[in-house]
Amino acid sequence: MGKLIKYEWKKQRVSRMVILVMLAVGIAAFAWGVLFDNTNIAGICMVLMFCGAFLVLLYTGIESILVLNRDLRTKQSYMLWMVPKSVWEILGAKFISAFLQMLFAFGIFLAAGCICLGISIVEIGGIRVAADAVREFLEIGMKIDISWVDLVMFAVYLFIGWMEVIFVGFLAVILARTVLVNSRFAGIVSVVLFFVINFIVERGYWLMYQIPGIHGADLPGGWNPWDIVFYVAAAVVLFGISGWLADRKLSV
Amino acid sequence: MMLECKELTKWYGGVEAAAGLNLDLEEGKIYGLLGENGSGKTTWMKMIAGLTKPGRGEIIYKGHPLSYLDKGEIAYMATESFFYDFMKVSDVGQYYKEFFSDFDQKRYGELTERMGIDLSRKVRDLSSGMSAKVKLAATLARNAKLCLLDEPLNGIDYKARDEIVNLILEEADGKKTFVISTHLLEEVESFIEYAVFIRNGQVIDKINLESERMKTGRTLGEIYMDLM
Repeated sequence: MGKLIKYEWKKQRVSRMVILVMLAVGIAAFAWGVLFDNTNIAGICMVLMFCGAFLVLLYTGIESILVLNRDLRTKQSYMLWMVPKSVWEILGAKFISAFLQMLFAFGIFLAAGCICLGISIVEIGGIRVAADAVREFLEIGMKIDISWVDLVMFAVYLFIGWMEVIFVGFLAVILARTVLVNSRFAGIVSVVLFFVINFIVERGYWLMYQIPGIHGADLPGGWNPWDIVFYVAAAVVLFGISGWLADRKLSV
Repeated sequence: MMLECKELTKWYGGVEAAAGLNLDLEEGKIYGLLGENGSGKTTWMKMIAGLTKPGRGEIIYKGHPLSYLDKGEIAYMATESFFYDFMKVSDVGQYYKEFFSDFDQKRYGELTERMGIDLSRKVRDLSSGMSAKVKLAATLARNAKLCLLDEPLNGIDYKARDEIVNLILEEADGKKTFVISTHLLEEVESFIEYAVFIRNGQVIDKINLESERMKTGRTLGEIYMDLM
């Protein structure tokens, strides 16, 4: 499966390059702001990179779904389906690659944050100055009150929830490309299916919260461990259906 | 029998690409798969290569139902270019080496050299003819037990066709089975052993060409015109 993951990973290399270049520009601008005592520039850069981290995380997930759609729509799919690997391995490699891609995005933005803090420590003499710059920008400029714990929990929550959404996307694409194989409307249908399946999953999530005692398990930041259980279970079910469909129906 | 296809059916939308297709292949023979456009030749090949699932019917390979593991012994060359855009010609060889244990990278290097293909070129920059040669080189560099070539001479210049036919004959050692789908009857008449005629998703005849020549003296073109 490692070889399959390697080639899946290569398919999104252009996005990774773009992200790296954008981050490099962001870090350079931040360093410039710090060096020339321009807290506005430094603060804006940090906020942009922070927001960028979430956007990139979302984009890489969507791109994984788009890559699967292209793989099933074009003849490049032969490269995948002609190899002596089971459908489960091929789809598994795609899911793992999507996960790694998001982990990569998360990791490099974390590294960028560390670099920015390093620059602050060296040039200004403390993390507090950089943190204050961000806080100042958000609280004064955008009237937002920051709780760092909430932000971290939100990031974790988003990461796990978004992985489940990717599973939904994969199922929607496979469903559209198996039931409506060779149809020129398969792309649009997969988008519609994506929202329908998402609605069903979210309905299941709502139903879970009707079970007595589920609310009581809340942790700081409004995060509930049952959410993780639900999303992991949903991902397993979605993967099972995707693999089953691909194994029996897929024609490329 | 190396391969047995029983009552294969396949629908694409409202079109029946395979309509109860029956075909048996013997080991070590060279088959020509002949028929009009849309007759079901490519669909049959894709079903054997595992790229599409038959709606109904059974494919038996070496005595067992065809499974994904059999793709390790079955090589398929599609008509269209299917390599990843980011690949160079050398990457194609690397990909095949990584996924097919029967792939001979040295042989791939020899074949690409004979065909005048630069290993450092990106596959997306190749002309259709050059791309076809890369596909053929990658497919023939596998020591596959069953080799399915879907219109291998399409888009190939006249001079290179001879070279390709020679390459196929070099690989046809009596142990490998070849199935070649083509419309260029004159090009393949000299070396195919069996001609399989497909029409409307069904095999309408399978003829041993040597016997037919001895019996009636008809050319492949004449047989084709009579049957189709």
